[in-house]
Amino acid sequence: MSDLLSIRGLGLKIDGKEILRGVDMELASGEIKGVMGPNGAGKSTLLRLLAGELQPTTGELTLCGQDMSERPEREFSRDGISYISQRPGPFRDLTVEENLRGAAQRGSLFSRKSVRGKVDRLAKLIDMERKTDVVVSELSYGEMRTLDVAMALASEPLLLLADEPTAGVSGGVAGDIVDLFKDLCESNRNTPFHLDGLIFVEHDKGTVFNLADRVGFLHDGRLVVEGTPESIRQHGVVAQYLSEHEFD
Amino acid sequence: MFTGSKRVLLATFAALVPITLIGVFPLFMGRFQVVLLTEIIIWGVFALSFDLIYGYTGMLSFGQSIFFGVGAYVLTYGMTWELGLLLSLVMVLLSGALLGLIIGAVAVKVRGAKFFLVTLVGAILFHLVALDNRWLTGGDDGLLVPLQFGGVVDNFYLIYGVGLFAALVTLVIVRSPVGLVFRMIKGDKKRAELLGYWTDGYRILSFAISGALAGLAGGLYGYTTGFVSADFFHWSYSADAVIWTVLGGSGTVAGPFIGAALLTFIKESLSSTWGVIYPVFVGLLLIGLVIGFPGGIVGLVKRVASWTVSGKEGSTDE
Repeated sequence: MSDLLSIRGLGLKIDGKEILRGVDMELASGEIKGVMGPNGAGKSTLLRLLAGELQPTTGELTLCGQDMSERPEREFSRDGISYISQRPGPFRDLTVEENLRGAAQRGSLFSRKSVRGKVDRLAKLIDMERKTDVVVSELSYGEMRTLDVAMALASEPLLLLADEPTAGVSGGVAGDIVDLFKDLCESNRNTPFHLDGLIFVEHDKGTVFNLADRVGFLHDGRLVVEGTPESIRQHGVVAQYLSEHEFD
Repeated sequence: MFTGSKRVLLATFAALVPITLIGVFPLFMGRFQVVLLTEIIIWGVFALSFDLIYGYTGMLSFGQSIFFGVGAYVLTYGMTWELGLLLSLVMVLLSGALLGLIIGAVAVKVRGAKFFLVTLVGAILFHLVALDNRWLTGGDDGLLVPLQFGGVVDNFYLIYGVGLFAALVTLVIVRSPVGLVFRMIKGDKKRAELLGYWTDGYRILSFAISGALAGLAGGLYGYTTGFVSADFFHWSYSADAVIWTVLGGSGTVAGPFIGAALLTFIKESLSSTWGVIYPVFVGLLLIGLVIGFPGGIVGLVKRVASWTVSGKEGSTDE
């Protein structure tokens, strides 16, 4: 498998404090990568750097061989990286349909028919066809998270970055989100909203080991170890972390 | 609740009734009332220009008086050079949009309180420059605007037509894909940027459209009064637009017109008797509305309508 994403020596320093240090990581095409680690390890920061929300102070980041390090934030989405942030992101004063349309129309601003079709497919994908007229502020937290996922998929990204997409949602909804990610990553390339790769951050160990092909463990801004879910459990730091968070 | 198509029908009906009534107004009313209504429509267009950048795009600008003043002077010079009213109005729109692009490009670089300050200082600067350059603006003494229509009623229908045009164009814009991006930027600029939108570009565009509308209002006001002066640039015009919009309901096309109508009417009614208490009255009204009904009068009406419908549905269920 060829590399979809490659990170070399990625680092971030804010006010003299090193938040991330020399992170190296590859994501092969079709791969799902989970990132775990204690609070403050730099997991969310890593995703924000990959999404273009933060600019790295060192290192380089390439998507399909294209250097993304100095690109403005908006170009990450245009070039195929979508990001689901830690807090629910839909626009609260807009309806579900307007949120989906707003996410889907970029790049085809005046092709109403194609945007309409995409919005319908997205609403169906997340089972919200009957709620398209509902204002987001009236949705449950789980519904907002699900809408987040659909909005991130609207630009038909190659790579999806998801920061704790199932945190705070009920087990059923969390399961639906995990299943959707799996289906989209395993789907045929011609399937609508097919994903070439997924990197997600999760605290829930079950979700990480169930969903990820490979897992990276961050500690104090460093990528300590990376491997398959089976192999990474055996690593000393990870084993200690898992035992300390046995009941999480 | 009402379905989408029923809601559109109701909204269309709710809009057509006052539009028609205003259209036949001069047939039944006296000269003073027609002049007052003409002024109200102009202020409505002016407030609408502010609403586009604040109510729809989320930028609290105090720079609307810049466009208002420029529009008034462009129309004055257009009429003086005998370009005709139509061409002069087109020039007003273009100059407002161009100036909006320039000022917008500078203003969007700052955010929050700084943005407010930049636009306010801009308005003050333009006022001072206009006062100092008497050769161009006539300063305090101003300039006379050569008129094309003579009668009050003719002028009313001119303003009425242009006001309808402005409201319709704004409605089309805010309901278009571009208008949706404006509303997304108002909701969460960062999020809109992450979705791939060049948000500064859209904010500048919003400024340009708003500048064109504010310029149009300035041109129409100068044309209606037959006089323009450097005071047209005064920041208090911007403040009026803010107050009318917030009172009527920001983020709606009808709200600015309703706010402008209500306060202009109250101001005219109180000025002959209790003119001194007008600012106090407006202040108290605004504080009450902002605390009690942040959606303004339109928001209040929507809420009452929603209560009525849900109340009826509730009683049916029982």
